[in-house]
Amino acid sequence: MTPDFNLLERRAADFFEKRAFLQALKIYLHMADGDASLDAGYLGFRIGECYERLGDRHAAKFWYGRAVEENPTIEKYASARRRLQGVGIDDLLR
Amino acid sequence: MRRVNDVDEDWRRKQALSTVHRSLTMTDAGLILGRETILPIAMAGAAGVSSLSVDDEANARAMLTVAYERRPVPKRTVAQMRRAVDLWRQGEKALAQLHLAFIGLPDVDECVAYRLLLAKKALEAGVSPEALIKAVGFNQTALDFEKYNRDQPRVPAGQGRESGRWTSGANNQQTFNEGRSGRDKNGLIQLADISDDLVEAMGGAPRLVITPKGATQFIGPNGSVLRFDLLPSQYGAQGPHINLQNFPGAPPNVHIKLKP
Repeated sequence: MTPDFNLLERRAADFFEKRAFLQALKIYLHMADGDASLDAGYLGFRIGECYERLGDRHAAKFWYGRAVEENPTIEKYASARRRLQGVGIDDLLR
Repeated sequence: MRRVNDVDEDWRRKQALSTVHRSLTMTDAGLILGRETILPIAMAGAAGVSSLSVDDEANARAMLTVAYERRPVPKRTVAQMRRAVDLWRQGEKALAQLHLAFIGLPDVDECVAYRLLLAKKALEAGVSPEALIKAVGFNQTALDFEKYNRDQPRVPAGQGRESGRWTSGANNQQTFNEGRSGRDKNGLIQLADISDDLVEAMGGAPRLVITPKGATQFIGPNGSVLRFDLLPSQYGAQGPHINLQNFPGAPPNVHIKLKP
């Protein structure tokens, strides 16, 4: 059965609002599964936000980057990716 | 017979040189549908008064009726096209595309494109739009041309060559802007008005931006997004849909599902 994405979106937004970021993340990942465009970047941005709130800035940077790839003109996506520009793995390579 | 051959030759030439415009496409040459067939939709004349003659409107409606082999398209459809052409000529290209997107004509295939060309050639050869409509099985009265409706407005005196011509309204800009979403007296949704409301909700005229995967997307000055995810590369399990994102007072991402 095709999921009702408006319902999924509302549930995910509710979880996010209640700071239940992991639950919100699970829903957004479910919505993104099989959608190469990530709903034109929207889901990439939302997944990135969840990861960032959960403290995983590397994953957040990756997903913000995917959002920008899918929709480079949305300034919100681009600025989120720029904000995490300095997140890297240098400390792991020393 | 020679005219038929000319049409076939023209068709073959267009097949070789162009692709089918499956939906209404605005160009500087005019409003195109099918294989480079330009619809006779005139832009607004001086002082915002429409210069669309009754003949132009009847011709456009006849062409579309013949092309799609269905009931005559409503006058409102032609009014929406004219509005889109006016916006395009004023440099509001994204806004023009937005109006076109909401006209809702079915996709054009080769057959429809061919019939559209045939209809245009017939009109150019002097066949009346009424006769054309009749030839494809519709009653002339269904068109409701209002050619002799004395209540139909005319361009007032003092407008040069346009004076006295039939028009579809004294000031189309005002007519469109005053409209709001809802249903008309026949219960039909007023799509032209909805598109104006959309523009208002988007904080002004949106920009047209195509996504890397080819989805048509309109981005409003307030950050709202209207996007058409219609191809498999543009959607996942949810199927083809229209996206409304970041609209004031709405959930952040609303999907309008479409039949695949």
